[in-house]
Amino acid sequence: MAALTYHAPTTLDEAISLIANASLPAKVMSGGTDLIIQMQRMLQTDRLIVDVKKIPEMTAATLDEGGLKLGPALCCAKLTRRQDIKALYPGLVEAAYLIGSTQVQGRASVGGNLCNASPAADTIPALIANGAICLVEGTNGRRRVPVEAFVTGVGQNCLEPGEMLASLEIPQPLPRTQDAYLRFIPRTEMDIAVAGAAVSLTLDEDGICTAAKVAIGAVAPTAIVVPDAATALIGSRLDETALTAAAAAASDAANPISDRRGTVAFRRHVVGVLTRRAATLAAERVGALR
Amino acid sequence: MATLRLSGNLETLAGRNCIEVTALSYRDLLQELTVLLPCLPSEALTELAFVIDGEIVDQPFLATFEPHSELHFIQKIAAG
Amino acid sequence: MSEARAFKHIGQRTIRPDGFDKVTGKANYGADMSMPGMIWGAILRSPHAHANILSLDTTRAEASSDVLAVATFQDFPSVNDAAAAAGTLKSSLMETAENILAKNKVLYHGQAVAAVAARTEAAATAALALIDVEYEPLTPVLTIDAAIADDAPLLHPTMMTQGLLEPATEPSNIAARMELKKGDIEAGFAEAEVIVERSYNTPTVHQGYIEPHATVVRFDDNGPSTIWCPTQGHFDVRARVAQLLNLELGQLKVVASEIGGGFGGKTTVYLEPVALILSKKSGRPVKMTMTREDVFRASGPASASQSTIKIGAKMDGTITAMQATLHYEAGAFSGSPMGPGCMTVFTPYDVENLYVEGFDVVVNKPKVAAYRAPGAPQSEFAAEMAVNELAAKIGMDPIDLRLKNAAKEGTQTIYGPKLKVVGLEACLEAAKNSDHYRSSLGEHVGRGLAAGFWFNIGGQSSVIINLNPDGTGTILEGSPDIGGSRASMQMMAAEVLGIAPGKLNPIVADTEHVAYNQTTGGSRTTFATGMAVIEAAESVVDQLKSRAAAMWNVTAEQVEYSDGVAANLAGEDRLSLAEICANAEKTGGQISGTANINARGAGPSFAVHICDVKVDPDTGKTDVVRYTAIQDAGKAIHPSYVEGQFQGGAVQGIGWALNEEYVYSAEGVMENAGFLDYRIPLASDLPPIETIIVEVPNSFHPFGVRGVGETGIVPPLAAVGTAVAEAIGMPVTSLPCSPPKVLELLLSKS
Repeated sequence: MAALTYHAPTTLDEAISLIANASLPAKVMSGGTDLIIQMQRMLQTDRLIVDVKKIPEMTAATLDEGGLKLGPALCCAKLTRRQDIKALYPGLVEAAYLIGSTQVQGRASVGGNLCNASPAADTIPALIANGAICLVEGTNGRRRVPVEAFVTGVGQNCLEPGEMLASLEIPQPLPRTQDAYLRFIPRTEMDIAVAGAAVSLTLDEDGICTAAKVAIGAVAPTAIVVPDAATALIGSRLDETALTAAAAAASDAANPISDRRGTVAFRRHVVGVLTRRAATLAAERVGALR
Repeated sequence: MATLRLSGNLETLAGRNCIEVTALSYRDLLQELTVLLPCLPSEALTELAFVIDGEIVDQPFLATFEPHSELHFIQKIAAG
Repeated sequence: MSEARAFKHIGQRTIRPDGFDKVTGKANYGADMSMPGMIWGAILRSPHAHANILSLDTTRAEASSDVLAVATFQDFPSVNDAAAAAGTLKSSLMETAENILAKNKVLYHGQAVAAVAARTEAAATAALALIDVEYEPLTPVLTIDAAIADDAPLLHPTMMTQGLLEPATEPSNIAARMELKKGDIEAGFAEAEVIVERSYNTPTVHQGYIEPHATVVRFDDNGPSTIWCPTQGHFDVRARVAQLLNLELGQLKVVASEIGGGFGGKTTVYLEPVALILSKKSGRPVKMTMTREDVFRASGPASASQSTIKIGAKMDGTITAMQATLHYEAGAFSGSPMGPGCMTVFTPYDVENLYVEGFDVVVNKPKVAAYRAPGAPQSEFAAEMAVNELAAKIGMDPIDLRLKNAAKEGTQTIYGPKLKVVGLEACLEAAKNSDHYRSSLGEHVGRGLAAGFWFNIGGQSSVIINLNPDGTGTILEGSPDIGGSRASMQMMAAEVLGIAPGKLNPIVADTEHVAYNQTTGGSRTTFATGMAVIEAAESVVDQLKSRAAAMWNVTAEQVEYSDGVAANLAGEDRLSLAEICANAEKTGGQISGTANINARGAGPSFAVHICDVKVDPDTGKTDVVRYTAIQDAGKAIHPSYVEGQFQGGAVQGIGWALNEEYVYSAEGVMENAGFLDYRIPLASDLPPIETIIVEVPNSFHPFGVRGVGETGIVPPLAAVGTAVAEAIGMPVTSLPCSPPKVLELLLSKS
């Protein structure tokens, strides 16, 4: 039988040292909700698991005037109960709330969702729409990677050997800014996105959109930014023309596949619908701000 | 005389959909049919359920019926 | 039976006797069993959907120190002896054997090819790599159209179609043809003023029982070998394994564990004979379990179907002719439920002229198994969709159209007998008067209504009721409880004996402790085993009366028994059941009653379902927003479990209609072999399923019972399909109505 070595360090330095000096293939684990399933298919391989949940800053979430510093291993259940975070980034928190079941959310984390790099990951489009920056720590020091550049392919991320995701920095939203994330699944829960869209937008006092960021998921190997959709929204009052243009831009940007969850035509169409609805929802949220 | 109604493949084999029989029991009926309708193989019949006046009888070996009864053979119903 | 009969326990909502153990985790299911010295078996499965096995070499596995036994098709003595050589073997036995361990050809991806046993589950799985199989891949045949094409690759090169007007001269993938007719179909259409004709298809679906197949088997040379497994019929497991392995029935003891769902899918054997071979060879008890993936790939799903329906009618709604051509996928071996599909398709209608032709078609998919009213949901879906289209075409309410043509007492069915008293009209009236049917519809909401029919069966049941000296007792029955039947048995015995249901413990006994019982299926258990319970309880009452008579020194005729108390008609003496039992020792020994019956007179159950769906016009997502299931139960013994059966059938049918389907690659590999992507509805996907129990008693049952388990899955397919069609304003002809398909329809319209 293959050997499994497990460590649960309590400091970031210790964790980096473990993965950098490992003689076995090393995997960083936070909640493990993806990793443990993957490990069942790799039973014959020796490996090292470094559990980072015992490192205090990995599971912390602090808000200040700079924005949110999110510990990548904070479980979704704790994140989704943070009303202060939800007030600023309701779409991101909703994305975290969509992952798995209530039980799974007691373990699953935003950082794990990101590092696992599934094309259908729910939190990635929402992180992109909010301009999140990944803080990567390794033996060669620290680097900052925009979240849209973090994921490089299906199941692939930009981490080098000896590196790990140490923090997510999500900038303080501009005044009168809100976000929304919507996904399509054929059921109500316990499913994987067939398409997803996140929109963050800023409206001025007259209801004119002054800034926007649109990201879509499950319609390409990685979640992608759709600048043309944002352009369509900016300068508009989110009228029919602008929304239709944004939806069309998202559909055009999509590069989906047909599989057991949906067809190319379906995904392409629906990601546009979701983009339009997410933009409308985000604008409604701005309108509801005091 | 009881009336035996034939449908489906039995009707095709027998070339008719109805026959009067003097038998008053299942066993006598099978005997009588070997004479009346030799084209109906009795092995085919014994694999079927028997119906007496709308009542399905899966194991008709001992079944008896009345002179005015209406009789059928039907496929046994699978259990789901 | 008297309709006005007042019941004390029947019709109450008692606590089910098996409930506490199930919700606390104490109940023992298939995989919960372990035995001393037990080892694990694992199955090598085919990586191809269609291939010849050129060679199968187990030498390396047998040489491994980890491996304690290996099994292949060659280990079935029954199919390798002189009978097989002489060609006199029943083909169904041979096919059962080949489905359990492939002979010289694999016919579906995931088919079992060989098995090993080792000390641990992981070692057994690892040892599968030591079996060397050389395949010659063949083109897979994955659809009915592909299978019946002129140049289709043949799954069984010698298979000749049975049931043709002229005997077949060439082999084909059509195993059988069936024809049923009534009246003059041509004349019926000639009489019609309006004709509706359309083709429909339904996908391969799985029963989706929550417990995967599992077994623990111990071979014994000096006594009966033991098989522990979750099954709907442990006596039939015994019979099949005995046949396959040339054993006497007395050499096998089968214990039915608690069962986590069956729905027809646990009426056959997969692992049990293999585990027995491995146990015999290794001298150890062997445990085998399927993963969920194995269950999808290699246990029997329900047939995919293609149906063409033609209906002729007068403008006043009188249907003059109905015609159907039905194709059912059998999977790898012949034996789809095409027959019952043909027999049920038009049974809800009293129509003069009918013609039905059915075909049983083999394809490179798992051999199908029974699924709740096997064959009926597919064909009745097509018929009910067409009837609803007819209603729309002539501008008639779908209930009124059905009432005008409804099957009733005396209706001549296409399969032979005339119907006795049935509850279809009562269900239609109940639907018409329901709050649901009278409610209005919102935007993007469509409503569908459909009827459904299933025969129900009776058959053999054996029951023993034993009373204890304190008046408590046991009911030994042999019908595995898949739907709350133990509660019903308890209530029926309590009703006859006049005591509290909780005084009697209902037990599903193993094959050694009660005589033969037919499998739990065909909605037979509450009807037939219930009948045996009543008969056994009546025998106990006779004994109670004679024992009381002995105490009072009177004759049994001078004793009256009611409400659990014997009364001396010649005096003031009273003895309760418990008091009679306490004195049993003095009056001739302990008291027990038995009944061994072959129940006749199962009463068919009709149902009518109403479904409202809301369709998102931009995504095609369909949500069921309101649903009502109305069905004739004859007499509801335990109304909660009757409602549970209605609701369960409705939910499985909704899943079949909306999202469930086997998705295959071009190579014949199922791509969604798990509950993530094989989308059974979740509790949160559905509204509460409203129920209306109609009670039109079955005159052949002492309490009026009709089976209720299966009919409920028949109407939902067309109720949902019609509701979707209404909501989107386009005909629906293909299930499931999954979002990509509905969106495609919506976009094709605009």
